Amino acid sequence: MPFDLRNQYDKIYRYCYLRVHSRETAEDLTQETFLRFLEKPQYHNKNKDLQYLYTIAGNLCIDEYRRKTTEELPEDLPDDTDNENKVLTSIALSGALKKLPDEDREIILLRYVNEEPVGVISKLYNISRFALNRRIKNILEFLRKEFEKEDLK
Amino acid sequence: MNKKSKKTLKNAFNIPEPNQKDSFFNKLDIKPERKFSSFIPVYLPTAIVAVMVIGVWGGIKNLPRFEQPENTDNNIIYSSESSVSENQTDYSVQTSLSSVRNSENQNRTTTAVQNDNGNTVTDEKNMSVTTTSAKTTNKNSDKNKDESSADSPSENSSENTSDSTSEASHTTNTSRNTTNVKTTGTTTLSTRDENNIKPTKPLTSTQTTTTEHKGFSPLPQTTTTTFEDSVDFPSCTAPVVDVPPDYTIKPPVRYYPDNNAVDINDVIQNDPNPPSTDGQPGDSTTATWEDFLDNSDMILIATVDDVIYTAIDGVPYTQENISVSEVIKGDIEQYSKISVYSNGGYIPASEYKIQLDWAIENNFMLFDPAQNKTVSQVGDEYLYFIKKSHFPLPDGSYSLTTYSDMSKFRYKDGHYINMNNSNIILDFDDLTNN
Repeated sequence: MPFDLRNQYDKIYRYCYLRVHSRETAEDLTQETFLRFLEKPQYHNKNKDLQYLYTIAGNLCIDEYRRKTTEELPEDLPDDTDNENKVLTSIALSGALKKLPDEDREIILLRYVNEEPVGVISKLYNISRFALNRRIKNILEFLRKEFEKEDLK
Repeated sequence: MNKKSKKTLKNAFNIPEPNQKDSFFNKLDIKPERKFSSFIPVYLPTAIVAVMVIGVWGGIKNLPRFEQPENTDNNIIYSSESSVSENQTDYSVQTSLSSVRNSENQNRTTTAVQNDNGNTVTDEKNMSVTTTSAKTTNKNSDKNKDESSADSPSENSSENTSDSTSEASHTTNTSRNTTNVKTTGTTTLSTRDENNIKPTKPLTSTQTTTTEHKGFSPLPQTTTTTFEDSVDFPSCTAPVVDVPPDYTIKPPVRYYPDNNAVDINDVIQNDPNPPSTDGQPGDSTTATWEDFLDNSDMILIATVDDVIYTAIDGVPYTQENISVSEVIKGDIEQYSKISVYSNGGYIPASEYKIQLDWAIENNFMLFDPAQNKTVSQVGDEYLYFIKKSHFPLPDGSYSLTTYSDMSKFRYKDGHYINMNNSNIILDFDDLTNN
């Protein structure tokens, strides 16, 4: 698998943003993720690079969340009005996504936005590919019901 | 999901584009792609080289030590007779190793000459095992051939006395095999010098004799040493590699498919006494999900490694050696290898349970499909419903839950389709919900 860090940057950034809901914080965490990844040779495994990157990013997001909760509530949560103004065609889908549990939303992002392989995601969440497929199918079914106008076959 | 849907989904997340990406990568000292890509090719060969070095070093360290005699003679003649026997090829070799040193040729070590025709011995096995000292340079071989090949060791000693200060004869009888070497030999060192006397240490082994003569140090002493030595080569430990457990079994007999094989159904139609199939399990028309789930010890997704046609008591069976890629039900390690038996397969007419004279006379190969609709091929991946085999199938093997290939499903378009009845389609939810 050719591994381009620039391409992975966008994916890790989206993953962080979904968790912290802040562009600046997400970028900081993304850069910190790459710095830690590059500093540690033991992270570099041909078959587990993506998994390591997501694991580092996830841990950083958790640390950030803990730190934020002790300081203040985030002020830059995504504004529903802005989102609707920006992407009118995906209002219903955005609403449907917000109804999903956080982890399900992450799985959908990883699978269909970041287009990560099932094997990577299953290892990231420590579930079998079989269970992951079933879970994705259930999530998509839920989204279909919530947003029938969109074609999510 | 098509591209349009993915794009819509991506927009629905409302994630703004990062604006520090370029500046971040520009700040990095090393280009990320290059730095990252260099890790993989560097680490792997480095690790391999390190393991090899450690292995070689360990092997050398564990070799039996040999104390080199201090008699760094000016002229030394080694005469060696070796009898070498190996595991597969027995042969005997008689060699005469001679070395002449003088002040002009101090850097030369040993010249090995074969007794019969005077050819230089360059056998690496001999050099590495029987006489490590036989690191040969042949620059002076012509000179020494005349001296050593024509004369006995004792004669060599006397001849070289005239123009050298010391001499030695070394006779070795060696028998060995590849792993354990037992060396029995007699070593006679004959040295003489009129000017200087140095004590010589007895040779304790012929395995690691290394002679390198750089100085003129005559030894006017005669020493005779007889030794018997047994040397065990140290075993090298290979790096531990995780190997998936292999539970496959050896089939009782193996038959190979024949394109001219006669379908057993055609034969039975012509046979006056066709075999009865009443009461055999696995009637495909009555099998239900409960049958599959209740009767299955294991539910696996596995890849076919080998397809073996065999027979037990005149009944053909097909043994599939499979590698488990995913375990849905059952107690077995992922990636392990097992053998799964199914009914039917190829069998020679002479071995078949029903004696068909015409088929036997023509030496036909019979093919019994046994209600199977398909034949597995190496590399196929299936969803298996299997159970532990019972007599007469071999212990440790597994067999399909049903009589036929109804217990096998092939993945296609997100569903598992039955190999015996394509109308039976299994979805992920079907399995987990049950």
